Amino acid sequence: MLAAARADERTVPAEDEVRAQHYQLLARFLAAPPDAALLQLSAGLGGNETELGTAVGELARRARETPVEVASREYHDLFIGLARGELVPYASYYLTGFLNEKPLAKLRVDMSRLGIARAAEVKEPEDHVAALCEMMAGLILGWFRPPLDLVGQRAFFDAHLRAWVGRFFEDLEAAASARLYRPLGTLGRTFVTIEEAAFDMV
Amino acid sequence: MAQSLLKRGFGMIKEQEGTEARTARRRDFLKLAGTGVAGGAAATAAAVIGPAEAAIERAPAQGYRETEHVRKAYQLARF
Repeated sequence: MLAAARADERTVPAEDEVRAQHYQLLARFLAAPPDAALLQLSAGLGGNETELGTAVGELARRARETPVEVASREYHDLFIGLARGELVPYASYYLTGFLNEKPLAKLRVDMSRLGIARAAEVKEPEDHVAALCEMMAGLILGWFRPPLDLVGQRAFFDAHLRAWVGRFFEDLEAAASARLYRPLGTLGRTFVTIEEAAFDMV
Repeated sequence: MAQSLLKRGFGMIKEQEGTEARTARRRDFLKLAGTGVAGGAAATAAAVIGPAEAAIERAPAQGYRETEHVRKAYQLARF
């Protein structure tokens, strides 16, 4: 699978490869508590004077000063919690107030059409923000099928991310538990705004 | 890309030029907006992060990692 994915990635334009990297970075922070490797990598990211670059720089700064245990606790407070985390990062929850609703059903239809699946023995919802970011990266880079063209990417983004991920990243920025994750929220919110504007140019 | 070369061969040069102009404008926009600021470090991060981390798979899936947030969501769904 990896060899095939690499071969496909060579045909992806540089600017789209970079978009996929942003999605992957977001996904990695949102899918599970950050490990030492992720913190170390993030600490090495360089910022610049753009809004996105400022967020990247701030994320790098906080990654440098946040121990793994502290980052892990923050992740738990934000997304796991005792009864529940501070945030519930699922499309269905944001769009309907409940998990496993119609947005998930619609996503599953598109996943199957695009060659994305999960194993049969597991029943958890796929409309988690991290899974959706991973799907965007995979569609851009061609992990599942050959890379999806921009029109197809826009259709997927419009159908499954556009209506709520911006709001989720705003909530992440404002979350009481967020320290390391605050600049990640800014990064996500800014990046999604750029994605929307760029898709409008397709 | 190979696809645009094929189209050119079928006499759709004008349409292609439009597409290329749009692509260039979009590329410029993305650069100005600051995507790619992370540069080489992000490329390294992406290489490390990669498809292996994904909770999703190319169909048919080989295995879906049951992560903590997913288990929690499953609990929440029962409320």
